[in-house]
Amino acid sequence: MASSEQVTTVGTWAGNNTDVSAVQAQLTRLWRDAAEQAQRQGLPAAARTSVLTLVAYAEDPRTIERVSEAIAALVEHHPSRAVLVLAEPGASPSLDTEISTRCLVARPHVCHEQILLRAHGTVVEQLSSAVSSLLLRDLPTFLWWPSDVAGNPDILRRLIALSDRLIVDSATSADPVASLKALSQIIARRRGIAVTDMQWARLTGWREVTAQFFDAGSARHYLAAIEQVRIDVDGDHLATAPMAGLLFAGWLASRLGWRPATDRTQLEPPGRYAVNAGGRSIAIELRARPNRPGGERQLASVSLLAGRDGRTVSFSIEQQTSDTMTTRVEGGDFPTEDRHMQLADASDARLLTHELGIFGRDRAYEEALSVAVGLLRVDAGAE
Amino acid sequence: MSDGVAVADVEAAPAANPLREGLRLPRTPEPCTLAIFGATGDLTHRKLMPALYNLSLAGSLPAGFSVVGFARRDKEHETFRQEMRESVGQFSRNRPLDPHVWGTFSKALHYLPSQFDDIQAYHRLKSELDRLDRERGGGGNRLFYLATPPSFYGLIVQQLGAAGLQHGGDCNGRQGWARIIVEKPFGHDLASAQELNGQLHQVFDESQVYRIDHYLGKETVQNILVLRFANGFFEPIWNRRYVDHVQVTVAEAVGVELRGAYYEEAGALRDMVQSHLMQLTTLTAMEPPVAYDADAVRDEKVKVLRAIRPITGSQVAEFTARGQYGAGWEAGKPAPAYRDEPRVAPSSNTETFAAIKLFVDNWRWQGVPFYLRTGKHLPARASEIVIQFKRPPHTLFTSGAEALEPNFLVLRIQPDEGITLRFGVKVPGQTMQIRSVNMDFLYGASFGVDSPDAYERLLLDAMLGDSTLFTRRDEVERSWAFITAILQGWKEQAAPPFPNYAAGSWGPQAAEELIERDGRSWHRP
Repeated sequence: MASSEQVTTVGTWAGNNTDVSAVQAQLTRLWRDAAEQAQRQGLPAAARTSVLTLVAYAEDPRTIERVSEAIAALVEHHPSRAVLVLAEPGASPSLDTEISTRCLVARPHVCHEQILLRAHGTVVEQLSSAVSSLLLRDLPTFLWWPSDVAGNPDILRRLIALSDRLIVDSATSADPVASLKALSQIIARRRGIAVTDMQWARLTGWREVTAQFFDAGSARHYLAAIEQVRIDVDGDHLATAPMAGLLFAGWLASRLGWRPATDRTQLEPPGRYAVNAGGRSIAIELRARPNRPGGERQLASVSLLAGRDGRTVSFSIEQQTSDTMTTRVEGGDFPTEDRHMQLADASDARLLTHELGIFGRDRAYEEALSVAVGLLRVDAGAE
Repeated sequence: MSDGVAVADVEAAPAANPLREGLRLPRTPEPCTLAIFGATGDLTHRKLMPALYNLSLAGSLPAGFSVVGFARRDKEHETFRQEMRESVGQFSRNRPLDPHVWGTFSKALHYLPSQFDDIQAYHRLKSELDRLDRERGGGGNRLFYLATPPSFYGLIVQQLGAAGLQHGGDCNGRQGWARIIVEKPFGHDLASAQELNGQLHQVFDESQVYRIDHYLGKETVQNILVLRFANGFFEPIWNRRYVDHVQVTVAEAVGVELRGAYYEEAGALRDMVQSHLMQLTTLTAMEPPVAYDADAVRDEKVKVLRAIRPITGSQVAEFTARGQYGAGWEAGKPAPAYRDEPRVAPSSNTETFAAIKLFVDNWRWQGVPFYLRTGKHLPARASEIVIQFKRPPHTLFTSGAEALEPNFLVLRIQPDEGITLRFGVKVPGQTMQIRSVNMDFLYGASFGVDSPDAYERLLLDAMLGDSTLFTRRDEVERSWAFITAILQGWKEQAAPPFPNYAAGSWGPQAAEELIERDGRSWHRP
């Protein structure tokens, strides 16, 4: 989601081997310079709006670049401070800082300040104290963890301690089992922090459309008659693909009270899971579908097959293009016309915008995750 | 986690859809069919159809949703769809139109050429609704929308009743619902409003009637309640002890444009004050409701209307001002006088500007004046509420304090929706110099989700059966009682020498005098 308004950089500053109190002083100076310049131009000096602090951590410059681009597009929506940390644990110890302040051209009091901390060597271990002193007082702190959530547990734990909300992206997971375990532990250990997942946000449209099948009272009977669920995920093979599918399956199962079968005596084939619904067994099948451009690791189609009165009814959703999906109901006494709908923009900026508007726990996500853990038989106990 | 949906439950489907729990988009209504009376009119083209398309685009419409356009002109389904496609392409906030989404949405559109007075047409409508229930899964739920000129409202309602359409359809043994949306104006004075309400109630129960004032669908109007009742620090000072006065301004930069014929009959008082300004006033003045539900909120609004001191007879000279624009300028271009607008009488005495000073005689607001004003061809388009606070009881700082303005809180409805708080601060330096500064909050600068159009919100609310943002019968009649007394007072007085303000100015001198007599002045948006 690009910013619809033009943004101008008001000031920049960079320093090597900086101490954090200098960063605060430089920020004050940059805003004072901007106010003086406005005064010289006869413009009113206006108060700035601050809503939150967003902290992001990565060890890969490309990830920080991605984060920075997404945050830049948020200026008009979430005037805030962003503290980006690019860590290089292997280098010799130093803390270099870059600051930039940006405002909307048309509305100069809508501003954003970004602080990039380049932490090298052992400084990385002390990061949380530096980040802590840069948080906006009395405003919520959101921690965006754009990398694999299982990747760096110590630093993640320290930054979580400073934050009110954790936003992860399980689509970046290299190992779904490890990620599910890590996420479950964070949620179980939560100390007032709410966790959500950008991958979960990408499923919002799919969940909504699935729910719509059963809004009509006459269709709701079929919820209790679902026998099989097929979920196709874009990807060459299941090992890299299933997070979107697992979360979707976990959501469906948790909402309908299905529980992962506990009497499994042997491992199911990859991607096949059995759940129990009041004594009935329901098969959930995750399949990899060869990658399409832009669709990597995302849902490609979902089918729910329900048997009732000797007939099978299929409720299916299929992504048609990068931004449209089609729903279809076959069998039964249902209208048979296909419906085409737009998929919401799933850019980082758009997803992040929504995530930054959510402060409380997302219990539906937590329950979906819990079932997904059960499907994979992950031991989510103590570390 | 929800309880298991077991096989034994197959015959008894869950009352609520368990997949809806915890969804981030919880507002999808049950399947239904919307029948629009006046489907070829301007409102349908500019507002209703773009709003429905946007809801469809967002996935907020149910799968079994259909529209039946009911209007006098003869045309085929396909022609109707093509015309609607052009309108949506022109007026939707989401452009260009998505061909896939339109493909699905357009299949939901149907057209029934009919005369409003032909009872057979209503029986055909009933058959069509039953067919759509069967073929598209409408669930027997019907929503009627009166988008015709108000003179047809009574007739259409009567015919709907004669055809038995005040009840929902039967769908697999379950009775659907029927609701009716009535577009403003709800009458042109108290007697006509009561007559219209009487006609509606002969056929529909009040719980089925949704009187729409699109102002209430605006996010920032709803935010007035959130600001007041979700925060702890406004309510303690939101009363006569701390508030000096309140100003409500709805200013339009445009003139009457092509609505001359309508406006000649209406005027600013009927067109804007009775609806939009009274809504803003009641939301600002109301007591906290016991719950955020339709009747609790509307009960409190009605209490405010009951407490407003009537302005009758010769009192209009003291408590009101009216104006009509003469030639002037709009955005740097010459603007004609109202009397020179198309379909306006050359000697018209219709007011295009109205200002009122009113009092809400209750415990909270006793003695606090509310100044309301609205007008066409004012210098800017702006809707806002200004709460001006009393000065501090004792002047501590003498230097420069006389220039210090009183504190005020501005709730901006449009444009640039937001809140401004003005207060005094010390200017840095050796002297105790004080200046007023603004602390601004912009909704658009804090939230990433685009606000839906008011019609999107209200259509969805009506489908969901939530009438909180619609006007109740007693609210409409109380409001008209206040306005009708002023209209009567104006009728008894000679009209001012119209035109009495130039297009592009802030209204007549009488409006300035109305507030200046009290030692106050209008806030400039």
